[in-house]
Amino acid sequence: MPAPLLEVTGVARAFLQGERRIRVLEDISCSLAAGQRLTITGRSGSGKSTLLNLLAGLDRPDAGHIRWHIDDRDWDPATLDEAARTGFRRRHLGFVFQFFNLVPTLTALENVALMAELNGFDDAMERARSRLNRLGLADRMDAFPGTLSGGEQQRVAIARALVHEPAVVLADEPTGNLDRESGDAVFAELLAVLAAERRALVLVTHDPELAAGGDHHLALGTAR
Amino acid sequence: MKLLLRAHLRHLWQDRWQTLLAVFGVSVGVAVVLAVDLANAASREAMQVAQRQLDGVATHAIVGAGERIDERAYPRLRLRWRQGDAAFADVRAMAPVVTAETRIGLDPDSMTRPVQLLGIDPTADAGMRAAVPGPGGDGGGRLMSEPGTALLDAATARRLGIDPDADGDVQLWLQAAGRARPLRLVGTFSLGDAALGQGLLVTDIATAQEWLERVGWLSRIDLIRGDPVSQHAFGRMLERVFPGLVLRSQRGETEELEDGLRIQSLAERAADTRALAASFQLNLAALGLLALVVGLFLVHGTLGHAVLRRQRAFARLRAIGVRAGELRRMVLAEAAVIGVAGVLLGLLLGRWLASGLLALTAGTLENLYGQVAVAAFAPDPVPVIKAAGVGLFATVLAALPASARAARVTPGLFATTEAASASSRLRLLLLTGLLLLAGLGLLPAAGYLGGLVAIAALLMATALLTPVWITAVLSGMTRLLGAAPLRLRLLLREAVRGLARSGVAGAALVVAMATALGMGLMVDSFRSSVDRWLEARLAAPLHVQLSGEWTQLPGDLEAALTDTAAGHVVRVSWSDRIAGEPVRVSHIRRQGSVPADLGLALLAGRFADDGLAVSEPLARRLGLAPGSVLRLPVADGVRELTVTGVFREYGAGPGLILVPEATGIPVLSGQLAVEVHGPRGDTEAVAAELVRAAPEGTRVRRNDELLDLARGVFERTFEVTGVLKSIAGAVAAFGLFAALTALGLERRAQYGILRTLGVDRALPAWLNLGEASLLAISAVLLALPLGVLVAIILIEVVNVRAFGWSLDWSFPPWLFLQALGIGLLAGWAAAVAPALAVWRADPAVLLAEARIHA
Ligand SMILES: Nc1ncnc2c1ncn2[C@@H]1O[C@H](COP(=O)(O)OP(=O)(O)OP(=O)(O)O)[C@@H](O)[C@H]1O
Ligand SMILES: [Mg+2]
Repeated sequence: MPAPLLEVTGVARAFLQGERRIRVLEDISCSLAAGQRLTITGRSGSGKSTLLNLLAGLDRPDAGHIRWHIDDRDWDPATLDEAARTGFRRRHLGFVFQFFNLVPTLTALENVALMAELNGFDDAMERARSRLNRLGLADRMDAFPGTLSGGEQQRVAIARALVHEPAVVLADEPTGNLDRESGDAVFAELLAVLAAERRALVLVTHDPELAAGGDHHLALGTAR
Repeated sequence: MKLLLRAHLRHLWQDRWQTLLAVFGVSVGVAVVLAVDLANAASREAMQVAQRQLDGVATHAIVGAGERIDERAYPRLRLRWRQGDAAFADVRAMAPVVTAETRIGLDPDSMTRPVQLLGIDPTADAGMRAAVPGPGGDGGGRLMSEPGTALLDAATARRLGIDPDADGDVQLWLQAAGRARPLRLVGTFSLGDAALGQGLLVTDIATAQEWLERVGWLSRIDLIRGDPVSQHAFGRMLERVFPGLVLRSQRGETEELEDGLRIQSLAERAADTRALAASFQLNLAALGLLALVVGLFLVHGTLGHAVLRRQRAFARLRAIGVRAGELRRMVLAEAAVIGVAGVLLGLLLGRWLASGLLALTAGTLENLYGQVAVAAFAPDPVPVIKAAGVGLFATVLAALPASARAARVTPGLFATTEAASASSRLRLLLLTGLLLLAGLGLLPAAGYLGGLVAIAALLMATALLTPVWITAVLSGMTRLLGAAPLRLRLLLREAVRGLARSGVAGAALVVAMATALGMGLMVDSFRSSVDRWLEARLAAPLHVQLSGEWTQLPGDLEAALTDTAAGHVVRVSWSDRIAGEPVRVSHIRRQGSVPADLGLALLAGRFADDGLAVSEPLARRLGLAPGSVLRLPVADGVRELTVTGVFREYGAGPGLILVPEATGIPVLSGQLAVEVHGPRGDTEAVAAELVRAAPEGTRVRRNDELLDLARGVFERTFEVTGVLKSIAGAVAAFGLFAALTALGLERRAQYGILRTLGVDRALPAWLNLGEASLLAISAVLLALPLGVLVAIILIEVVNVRAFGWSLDWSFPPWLFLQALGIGLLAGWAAAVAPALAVWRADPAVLLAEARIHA
């Protein structure tokens, strides 16, 4: 059993909606080792995105702990201040969103290079180029997102999530907005790169087929 | 159809920042137009009321050289009229008048309340002035029978603490001809609209002559001529619709009688006072129109952008069966809603602004022309209807291009958003070119109005080109910074992309800054020209105002001048009229060695002993140049003299004519003023000597004080323009603020993604500030040359044509730096709130918005 990359113990999160208090997450525990894949499933509104936000340090749990173990250091996003949490996300996490969410005014290459540049890599452009090359986008590098197809955009987003070599990629329904065929293709490429580089993946998905292949599986109910 | 309309109107709410911007644009335009009209109409009304109090129903007046008539002429003229002389064929009444501005009070130490003293012949005057009681009524009879008695208007009496209804006489004191004189108040009368205008003190003509030390002289003889002036109706209507914009639209005819006497239409006299005030009101009216133009531009830009953004939605609507005409009507309906809201808000804002403006105008007019202005607006619907109509019409007009674009959208479910196509850019360039051509084409024609129209066209054209220009600047920078850090590239590209929203605000900023700079340059040129003109005049002049009527200088004063003022220039001046223009004629006597040009800022020719020198505005009005011949009224008729020189003069008063002693023209008898020009240093001594030698009642003043006063008046005049300038600037800053806020809202989702990826919170804030700086700098770069152009037209065309004076250029660098600073400050001020908003925002919330908006 490899050293745990992530340990989640007894996490709970509730939201106030008007007068009502909705307990979205209750007593969630799980763990993940380097290079492994955690899939999270559940009905709409079951708190999948909420959990991802907690893992990324965009939100704090009401109870329980989240501990990342990266580069021989322990990180609890909830105990860090705003700047440190931002730095943590920038350095150690990669993100893939359902709607790709590329910066429309940067080219494919620049979108990818942005993450490398933020992390202070001198060869940001080079790294971005080789990432895109590997994902088969060699001839679309200077295109702006608006002119790329959905599948192409998602591959650029995957390159962006990996260019700074994070320990883990958080993906919120990365194929949700693609047709079956391109979705499968993009997902396969993502898995291939992750496996080759031993990076972990936290995947939120509605797709039972994608959910099936993970090392760990978390099915969120609708606790109220 | 109803649902369609609802969808459209709901869009106004969803895009409320932009809607607010457009509504605000319209309302500020409407407000300034209304406020300027109200203020101008009110101050003009005050002058006309003051005029009517004095003139009553008189239509014409007989006036003489030096603005006075020998009293012996009156019975002669009356006899001619009674005998049916052709010159008086249609005269129905004739009444002599002696009048002057004086001050009254309850005791000799507090004679501070200004009143117009009006000496009348109660019998002849019956029916001439409705308000003034005739010989039969309320104390009117006592004026004739008891010397030293007078009637006062009830409002002024009340202000002095006198009960108009109380019985018994009241003792008052009058300051006239430099002395305090007791008077007995035997009654009051009501002036009706007495709140307007100035107090009126009525007395018998003989009493007035005595008080004013004008025994034997009349001010004028009022006439009622048969056919009340019905021509000029069109001119009057124009004046009502454009108060302040129509200079001297009414000109009366002058008929010469015997001995330098002539019949003058009172419309013409009124026109003179109006012409003076109009030079000031013109400034305001022009700025009012400019504000409207800026407002319209905001509407045009906002609706254009709204249509562009909804192109896809329109395409779908077309696909499911909505007709092109329906879309067009919907966009116009949106414009109408904006227009109505803007007009309503604008009318309220305008009323409020008008009170402020009126206070400023009243002060300026009082200083400039000694006119008492009003504190209340006349209830006139014309300015309100005009402002509302102009606002609505202009809003719909500004929406036409956008509605046409909406109607042109091709139906389709999957239409992609198209960027501004080449053809629409071509059309924009064409429109700009046409505007420029039209504006510059009007420049040589149509007087000073042509100049203003040209400025407006220039500003409009530049406003249209502003987004293109800013795009060019930003693209240029992007290319220059090819290998720049991605964050910088991101900034530049986002700024370009945001132009669809911020372009309009940028254009408004350009227009406001160019106007501010143009006006600033004009004002500064004006100020430095006036200063130089004041410097150039011979130093330390003394001003001696003689009291009463004189046929020549009193002997003692003459002797004192010869003794003490050697090496000085002595100027003896009186007022007159030439070809209907009020003028001040100065008899010039040099004593000893003085500069040949008298220190005049000569523009053409020279000052020579064998002819006249005239001031620039008068020369322009009468078409005079060195070599022209001028017919000058003198004591015994009219003399023809050659003009030898034209000199600079910025006095707001009448034109100036200098008559050298060597021409042999004698001093015209009458009310004389003496000025002594000469080297500095010994002024005090000269002044002391003159005071000793001059007759009692003479006032000796240092001219420096007068000049300081004049400078103060200029400053106040420009204060008003400064206020309007600030309004234009505030509109632009608000426009920028609304645009940046809207952009900030639109970009929240994107910022959410960036923050999630690990961009620190400062970057989005810096992007906002950076964008504002780029916009402001690009706007300033365009506004600087435009402002210079505006200043050139203002100085070389508008000032010359409207006021008749030329100015020396002054381009102080601090004005340009100031414009740059103000532009940047406006940009940052507008960006701070949106930047702070993204800086504070929680990335999780922003990210959630990204999920929703995707
Ligand atoms: N900041 C918040 N404030 C209030 N309620 C919230 C907040 N964030 C999430 N919720 C609520 O928590 C619940 C879970 O939301 P979440 O976005 O995690 O669901 P999800 O499982 O990702 O759903 P989907 O599959 O539709 O994406 C929802 O009912 C949502 O309304
Ligand atoms: Mg979700």
